[in-house]
Amino acid sequence: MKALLRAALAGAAMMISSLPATAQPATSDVVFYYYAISPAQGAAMNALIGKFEAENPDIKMRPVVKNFQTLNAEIKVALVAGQPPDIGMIVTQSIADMVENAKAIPFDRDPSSKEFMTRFFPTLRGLGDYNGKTYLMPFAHGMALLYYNKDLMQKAGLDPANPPRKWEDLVVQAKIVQEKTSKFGLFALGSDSDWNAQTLLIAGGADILDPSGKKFVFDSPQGIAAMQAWQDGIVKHKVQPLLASGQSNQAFASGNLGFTVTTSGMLLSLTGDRKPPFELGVTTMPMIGSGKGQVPNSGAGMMVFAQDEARQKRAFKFLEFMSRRENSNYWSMSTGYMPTAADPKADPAMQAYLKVNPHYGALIDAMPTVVPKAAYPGDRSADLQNLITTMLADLIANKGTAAQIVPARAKEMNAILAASQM
Amino acid sequence: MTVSFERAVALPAPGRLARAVSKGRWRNRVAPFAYLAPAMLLLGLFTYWPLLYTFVLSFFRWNLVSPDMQFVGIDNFTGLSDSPMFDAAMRNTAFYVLGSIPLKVLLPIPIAAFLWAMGGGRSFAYKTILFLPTILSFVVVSLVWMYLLNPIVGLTQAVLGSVGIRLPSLLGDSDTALWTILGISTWKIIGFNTILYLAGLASINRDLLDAMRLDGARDSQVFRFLVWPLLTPTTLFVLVATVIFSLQQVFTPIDILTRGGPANATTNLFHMVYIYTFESFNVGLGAAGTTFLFLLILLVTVVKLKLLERWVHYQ
Repeated sequence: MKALLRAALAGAAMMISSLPATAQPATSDVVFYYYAISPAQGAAMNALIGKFEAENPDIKMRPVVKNFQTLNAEIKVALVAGQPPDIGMIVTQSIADMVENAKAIPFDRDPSSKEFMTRFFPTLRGLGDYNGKTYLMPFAHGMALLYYNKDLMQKAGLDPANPPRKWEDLVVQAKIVQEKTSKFGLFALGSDSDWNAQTLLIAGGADILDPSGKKFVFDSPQGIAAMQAWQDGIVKHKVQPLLASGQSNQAFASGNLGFTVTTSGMLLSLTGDRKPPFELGVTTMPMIGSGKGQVPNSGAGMMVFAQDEARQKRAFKFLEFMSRRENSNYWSMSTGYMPTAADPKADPAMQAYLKVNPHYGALIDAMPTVVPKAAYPGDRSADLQNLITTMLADLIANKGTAAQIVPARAKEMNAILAASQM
Repeated sequence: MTVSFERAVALPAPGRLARAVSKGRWRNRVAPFAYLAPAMLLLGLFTYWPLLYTFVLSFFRWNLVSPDMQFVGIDNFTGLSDSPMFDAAMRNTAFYVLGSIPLKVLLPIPIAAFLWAMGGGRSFAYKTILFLPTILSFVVVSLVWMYLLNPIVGLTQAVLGSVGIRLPSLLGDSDTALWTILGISTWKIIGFNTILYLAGLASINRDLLDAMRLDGARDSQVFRFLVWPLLTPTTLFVLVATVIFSLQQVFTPIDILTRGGPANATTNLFHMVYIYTFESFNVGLGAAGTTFLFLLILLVTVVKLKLLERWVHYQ
């Protein structure tokens, strides 16, 4: 039965992969699965690959663009079929899954990795660690930022040069904008993703899991206070409208929202030709209550899946190339992802870019605050993600206070975690 | 005069004849299977084998790549009932199916009757407008509706705002999101079902219609005693197809517009299975959900056919 399944999966892998990647690989190629959620990403990746191949004429890169949501599954299918990609672009919360279930290669297999991993910004270096080893190189990441409409702030009598630094101030200023401009005050993350929940909890100083990674502890006083502050903005102060996934960015970009807290990924859609019809301000996300000044990352890095030594060597060579400051900066400037280099501003290209896109500087300034997003262990991660996002929805719907909802949800999640297989 | 029988008709020897007959019978028996073989092979490989294997997988704990598949008996089925998504997914699935009957199965009938009465040339524009959403990708349709229904910057808000009405957040509110997705999926499919009904109406013999008119039948009587009975085969087909459509195709707007939220208000069994299988790689739980969904569709279809077969009239 397994042999039949393997044969079927091999066939499926051949069908779902693009032709160049699945054709009998040459001895010096590198197969690279990645996802591109905008044409700019595909173009930037092609440019970097062209540069790498010019520098390494003996290596032929075979990039294969995959769907973001199915990329992990496709790597696993390809692995079962005996043709794993050499490199994959993997969202950081999937590291454990890909190490345990997709034979990801630890970076200590390649001596050069020790040196090239020091090129990254200190807070980003640990994003790829699992069980004491490094498995992922930082690459395409984002984090929550505060975006504000300076024109609306001015109209409301607020000082656009001093955006709110604390959550309480954000809610107060949003209320003033709402009352004095007839526009909406704030949209600070909705209930559509567990990253939103983690961002709010961590910004409030709470931990998601205990150090063992096997128990949820976000129902701490800090976590409850963070959730209460967020709920108050929506229910008590009524500064946050009810919007579905994706609608808040449209509302802010059109000038109908005073403030929004969302991913740094929105920066690119508010610059260049797509400049909004108002003066934009961008700064770090305001901390909630006793927040330690931290927010979780989003996005993906590069993991190596090549199973034979020669292929691994070529894969790490590509990673080393991408880790160079000028290349990681080029990727960030072209795509809107946060820079990953230790000192991104030392690059003349970045200096020139910041003159044209000064808001990008806010993202660089926020980099010291980023911490790894917690990955949910076990085989019930879908249920855990679902429970933490429905916690946000229950708070929005005012089904109880944070003190009633958050501990109950943490208990429910711990019960599922205990029953799931690690 | 005697005729040599052997000379007039050269008959084969009895043994040879028996062999020939036997060979002919064998050919007659085997030939249909030979003709069917390619289709049976493909169906077996891509439909029945995956179906059977999915059923087998529902008794195992497996993550898609591990060499070890752990037999867990019915744990995946009991795990489904413990799932925080299952109750909502079941309830919403029933809602999508039951809500589809008046909107997607019955509503197209008067529309089709109206177009049928209008005649070929004049109804062409209406048919085109109605059918247009059918040929659009559901992904595109979902993205367009997301913009149209944005309560702050959407086109609908712009129109309502001009007369002082504030559009509520139809997709962001758990009380309205489910109805909104049902409405969007109705808009997408109603043209297709109308065309099916028009085909059914076109097959009705117009002589019967003229005869009823000569006898003085009113419009409502023509519809009740002639059109409706002869439209029942089409209605049965539309009903079966729409129920299956409502279980499966509604996945796209759910995933794009609400991702099953807020608070599982819009998820369905199909979306739940997708999340288990392809987002958390819990293949056993996903397979148990698929098996459950398959049995549900089978049950609903069999019950429908049994209940409705006596009600269907053929011309």
